[in-house]
Amino acid sequence: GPALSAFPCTGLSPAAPHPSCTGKPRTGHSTPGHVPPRTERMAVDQDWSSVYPTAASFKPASVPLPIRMGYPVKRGVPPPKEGNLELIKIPNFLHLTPPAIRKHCAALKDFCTEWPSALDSDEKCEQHFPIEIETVDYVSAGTSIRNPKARVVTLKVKLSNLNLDDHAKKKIIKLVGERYCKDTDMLTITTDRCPLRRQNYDYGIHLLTVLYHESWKTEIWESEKTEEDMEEYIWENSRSQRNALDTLLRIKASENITNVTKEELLASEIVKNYKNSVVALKNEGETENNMSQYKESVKKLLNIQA
Amino acid sequence: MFGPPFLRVLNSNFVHLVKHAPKVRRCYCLITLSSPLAWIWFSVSISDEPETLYKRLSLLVKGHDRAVLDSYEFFAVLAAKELGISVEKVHRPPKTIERFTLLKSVHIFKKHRVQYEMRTHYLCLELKHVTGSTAAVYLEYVQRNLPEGVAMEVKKTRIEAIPEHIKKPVWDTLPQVEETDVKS
Repeated sequence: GPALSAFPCTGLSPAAPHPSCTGKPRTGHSTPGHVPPRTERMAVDQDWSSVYPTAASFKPASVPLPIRMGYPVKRGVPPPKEGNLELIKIPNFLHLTPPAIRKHCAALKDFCTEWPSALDSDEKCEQHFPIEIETVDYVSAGTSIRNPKARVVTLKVKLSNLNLDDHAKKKIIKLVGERYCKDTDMLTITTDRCPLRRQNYDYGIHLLTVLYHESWKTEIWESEKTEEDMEEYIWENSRSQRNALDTLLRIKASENITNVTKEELLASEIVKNYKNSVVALKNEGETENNMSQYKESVKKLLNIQA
Repeated sequence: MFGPPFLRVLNSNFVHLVKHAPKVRRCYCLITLSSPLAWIWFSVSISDEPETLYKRLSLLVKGHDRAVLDSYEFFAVLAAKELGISVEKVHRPPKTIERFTLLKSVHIFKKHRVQYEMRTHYLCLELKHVTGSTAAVYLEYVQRNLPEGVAMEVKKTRIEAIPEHIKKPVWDTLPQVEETDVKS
């Protein structure tokens, strides 16, 4: 009948099966429970990416390598790969051999686009695309794929790339305070107050727009800007100018030359030298050069031959 | 692989064409058969949105095992080379070890403690000048093959042109409004 058709018994009646066919199911092997590993049937030039096409745990019968791993037994060698838990625990890259990676990349290449060849240097990138937006993505294993740090957005732009005039630039630097770095001329806005990244990006752009437009406005109270608020030292109408002119006028008066005007004195070389040295000292700080320049100009101003 | 991918035409001209450069959108479907996975492409479609440009992609990979990170570095660098992405720098920041001391016993025996430590090794890959489509493809490929127990942080630096509303101050175009007294 159909149940006994699996047995290679021919020419016999179904009621009397062949003597070698016992009631037990056929294993097809000589030794019970022993299967030769697949490695014995592997060719040297086989396609390895079909043995390990995806990430899988280490199977000692499928990997034809004589690997030993683990702490060696006393006066012996590390344990072999059969039944080796250490080899199963560690992540393996058997599915990512170089030919497999090349195959994957060849298939993925169609979805890639090329970087525009005209933007080959950082300067050109900055010239055409001055705003830099930094975002961070996090990938890790856990109960949740979300990471609350992923919503932070940082906007960076150089003020020299924005359309600002002198007053607007000084005002925007005062408005942003610590977010501006003088050495790199970079304004950095970090936003994380919204729950989503896109919202934070929109808020950052909104902040930039508001800052830009507010800095172009001139308020009525801005005319009350005092000397302490100034960003850099301006010599015109300062105490130093007044004192120098006073001193020079008194020197001239003592020598009985009364027909010298302020404009003449201001335009003279000595006063210009003095002005340059004072401005350099105040703006750049005290250096060897600045101090010696100041000394020379004062000597010339007061007509002292040292 | 079967199914012909349609070739896409890329303009490699200058800025105004960069803004309208085609962004490649993938449509593919993963079908799990009884034997290993088979990928079937439907098509490579081109959308009209302008391509995003990434000045730098910084991948920081963290793991407990130095050997695993070494293998991963070989894989990521080869994948970047095959996809045509320039790798600027590959470096390994020093490892951090977090140690703590606990009591060995459940109750009393204060003098007998046990100490544990967690070692985190780092690997930093810096990629330069990547377009949005290429970045999406590379990152998905590399993240899908991230080994178990390894974490990754991707810092993307996107570059953009100045938006239209920041080009000129708006006060020139607005009609003159009479100044009203500000109530303090």
